[in-house]
Amino acid sequence: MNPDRDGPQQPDLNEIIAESRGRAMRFARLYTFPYWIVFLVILGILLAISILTDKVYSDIFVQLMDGVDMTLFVSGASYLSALTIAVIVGIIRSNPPEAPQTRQTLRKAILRWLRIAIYNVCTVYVSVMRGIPILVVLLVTAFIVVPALRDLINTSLIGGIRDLLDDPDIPDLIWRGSSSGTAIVALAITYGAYMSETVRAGIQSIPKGQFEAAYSVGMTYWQTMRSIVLPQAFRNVLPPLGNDFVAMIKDSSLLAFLGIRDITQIAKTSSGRSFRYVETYAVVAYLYLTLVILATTLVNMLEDTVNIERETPRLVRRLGGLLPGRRKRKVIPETFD
Amino acid sequence: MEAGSKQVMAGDEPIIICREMNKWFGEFHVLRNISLEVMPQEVLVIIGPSGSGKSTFIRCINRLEEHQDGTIIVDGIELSHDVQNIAEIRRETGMVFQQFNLFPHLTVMDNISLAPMKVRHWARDKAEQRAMELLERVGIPEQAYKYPGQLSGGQQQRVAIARALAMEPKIMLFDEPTSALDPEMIKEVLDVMKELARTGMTMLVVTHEMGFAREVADRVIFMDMGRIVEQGPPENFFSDEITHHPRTQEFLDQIL
Repeated sequence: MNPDRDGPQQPDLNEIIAESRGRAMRFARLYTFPYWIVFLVILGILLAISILTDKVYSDIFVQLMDGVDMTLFVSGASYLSALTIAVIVGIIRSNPPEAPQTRQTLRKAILRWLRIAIYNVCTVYVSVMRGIPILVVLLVTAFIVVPALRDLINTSLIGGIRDLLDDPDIPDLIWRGSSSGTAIVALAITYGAYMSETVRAGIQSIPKGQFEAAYSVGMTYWQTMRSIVLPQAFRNVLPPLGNDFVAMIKDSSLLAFLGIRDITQIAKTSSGRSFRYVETYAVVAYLYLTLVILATTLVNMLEDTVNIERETPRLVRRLGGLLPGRRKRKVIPETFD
Repeated sequence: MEAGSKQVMAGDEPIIICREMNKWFGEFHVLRNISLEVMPQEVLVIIGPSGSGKSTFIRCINRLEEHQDGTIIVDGIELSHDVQNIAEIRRETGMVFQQFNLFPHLTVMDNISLAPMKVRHWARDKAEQRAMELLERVGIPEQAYKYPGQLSGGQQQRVAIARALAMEPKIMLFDEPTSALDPEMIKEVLDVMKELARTGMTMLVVTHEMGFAREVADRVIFMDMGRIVEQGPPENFFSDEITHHPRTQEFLDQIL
């Protein structure tokens, strides 16, 4: 635009636009501010005050706090194990078997049938585990699978070693069915099945051209997966994976069925003694809600950081994104030259 | 530009040899008896109606597609069902796609230097220095630390060319490199390709840009229904004085 055309006394249109745009930008935070966090924080503080100022509630609260460790430990460990299973099974199931297009060498035919077998085993695993309630998986693992496995190891493996070394003092393996280890295994294999479908969907959402481009510069399937496909897939499926983390925290309350002292188990025993069911479970609800909201907030922040388009999700940048005020501005696309 | 001035040695071995090559997609016979030899430094332009198998043909040369019958020999290695390490062969052929297929989560710099680092095991310094040289060659060194989404189509395609060149391939395959571009961005990509042709790269180009074919090609190939219908140097191919195959004439009448 030619600034001289309208004469010097005319106000510059560009300046007016820039000014009003500046004004809009200054108030932009008004529109994007996360009001919901303020609401939840105030709610949390009010509830905390009413719990801590009441003798009955605060006693219960102190007792239940003992279980928070166990709840967080089991859900965290189960989640990481489940995620590992999910990535492996998800990758395998993202690549269903195809009929060969050309003649096969024996070596390739064997590899192909191996892959077909693994694919089918994974599919059976996903279908079965998704069809059984978690509680049933937990109980079966704790009271059938773990004891059977333990006895098998003790009689055959450790017994064999004993005979071999001729040393009767080698101790039996101790593995209690109702332990947090069992719970982690049960939660991990169930959630692993669910989450593998999420991972598979994420991988399959990446266009075929990404694979072809990576192959055409000489990258192998695994190099492509690791450097090209998984980083993009994870960004796409972060929200559902976050969902699973939240669900995992809540489902860890099933541990109480094994008598493990997490929040729910402590609530069960303590309310059984005091008969203060309403107060106890109100505090239980408060604790889980707080944990879940903290987890959700973390997931949201992670999402914000990696969703800043074209940003490489390096750990440093992620941590940087969590600190208030250090959030990176969205890059405004420049004009093309 | 001076396609004729390039010294194509008569005694050289062809770098690509196809003999009686056939391919089917299920029941559909997509490539029929393709026989073709490409000499080093030759620029081959492949034209033809859509569905004629031209893209499939060049995708067979770096084995993104497998042919079922016949022989393909690239740089002395036969692409057959018992090829052990396909990734090693693909290093020698660069490919540029219609849809660019840049990696959106990596910067332009990382897009170019990733494969040399992963596949050729170059040190990061060396790979990035090479990437910068290539970006200068395609004319956009100032975009090195942007992400593909921030670039125009023409710039993205030039990055894609630089990415393919980073592996120092002996052959470059172009699969309709300008078909997804705005008209005013086509020229910048074609200019890069012309420069590449001048430096003696062996190129197979599937394109609808007849101007490019006329100016740069050593040989033009016309494909239809999975067959090579006609081939020849561009001055003959686009000349009215020569009697063409009726199908070629029909196609040329449509587009010229």
